[in-house]
Amino acid sequence: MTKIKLRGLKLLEGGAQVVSSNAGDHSLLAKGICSPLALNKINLNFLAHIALDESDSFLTALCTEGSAGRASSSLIEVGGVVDLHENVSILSVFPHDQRPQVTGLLLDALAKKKIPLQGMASSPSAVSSIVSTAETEGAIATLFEAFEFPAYRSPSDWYAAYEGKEHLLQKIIASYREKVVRIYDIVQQSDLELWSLIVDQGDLAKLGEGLTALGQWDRRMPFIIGLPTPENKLVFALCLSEGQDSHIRETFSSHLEAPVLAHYSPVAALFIHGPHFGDRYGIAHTLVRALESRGVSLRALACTVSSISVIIREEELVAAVEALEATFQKSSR
Amino acid sequence: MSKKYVLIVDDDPDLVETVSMMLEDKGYEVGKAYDGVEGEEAIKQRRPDLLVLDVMMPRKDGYKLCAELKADKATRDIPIILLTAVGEAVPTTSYTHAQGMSTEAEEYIPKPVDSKTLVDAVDSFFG
Repeated sequence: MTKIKLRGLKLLEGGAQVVSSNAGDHSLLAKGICSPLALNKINLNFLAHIALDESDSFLTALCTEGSAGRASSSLIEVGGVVDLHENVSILSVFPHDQRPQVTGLLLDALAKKKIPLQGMASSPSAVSSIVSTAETEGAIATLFEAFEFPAYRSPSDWYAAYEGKEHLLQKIIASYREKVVRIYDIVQQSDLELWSLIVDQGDLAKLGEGLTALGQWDRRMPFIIGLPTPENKLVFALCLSEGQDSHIRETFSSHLEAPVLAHYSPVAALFIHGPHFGDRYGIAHTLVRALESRGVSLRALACTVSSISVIIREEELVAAVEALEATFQKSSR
Repeated sequence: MSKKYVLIVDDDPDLVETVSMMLEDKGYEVGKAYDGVEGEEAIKQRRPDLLVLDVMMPRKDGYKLCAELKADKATRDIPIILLTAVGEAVPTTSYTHAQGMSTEAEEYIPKPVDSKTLVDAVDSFFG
């Protein structure tokens, strides 16, 4: 089989993951999670959030630098379960070009090597996976087996290219002190459907096969997140183009035993891209608070690489764009 | 009339995606590269009408690639827009706007740059 060609791989090591769940108050993402972390200047390298049902129960997974993990888990006030997983890495591959088969192959590859997936989130260009630090080297080797990276002959080639840049990058990230957060752009995508599924770790290869099958039918997937549950399962939420319900449902049911958890339509995606958005504190808080102030409720959210992606009901798109344009500043010369 | 071909070289894949979408919407053909070496190879394969070049990248940074292209007779006429970094606030890094302006690039835009400003700058090269 021809390998899918990808152009790059990013790794963020030495992180900590905090997973929280709550039943009954959706506004807790802003005041119970994002606000205390922003006030304590804790950088979020990764954030995935999903509203599980109409009763406002939600699941949130975030990653911070390792030294901030314990503080983060104690600062979060959601009135529900908060779990801390130390020593995690975030591995991002790009570009996915909205092809479900990129994520499909990634899930399949990790599952076949029995590398547990602790979380997943997409940006407009990349798909990021959380794995334990102990599994990182194996995961990178697996990615090089599953995909072709023309720029790098081997994992050691790739390691050599990235070594030594982390310290400089941290200095640049720390230099951002903006009163109003500057962004590159807000990109909208409408006419989407949001699907959520709950999958056992042991069934990730099957989900991967299902996504690959959707890709072979030229379906586009601009958004995916995966969050771990206390029962060692993963809740996935993904967006696909509207109007393909029966085919998508059939594809999932033919690959997975578990039924589709929920299906919302129509939804819209907003992608907000800014410098080092996946590494700086306060960005997600600013965004979530802005949407909340206009009464926009998030169906799902992902923050990774340098973008935040939000999924909302399509009828709330205009209000959401107005809120974000009033909150963030487009940079100018 | 054939489309103008713009090559974007930046190791931030989300920035490459955002800018390429805007340039494609404006009728440009866009090539993408994610580090200096990949950018160099892309230029050898197809000469761009314009190059948008980040400075801080793995394998080969934007200053070095810019200097090499301007020193080569075959590539010195390719206009370059250099996206410079926030280094003024980080005196120990060389990735500053001032350093960028000391190169021979035709245009220097400090990051973070909004996509429209960048697209306008690209447009200005093609009248």
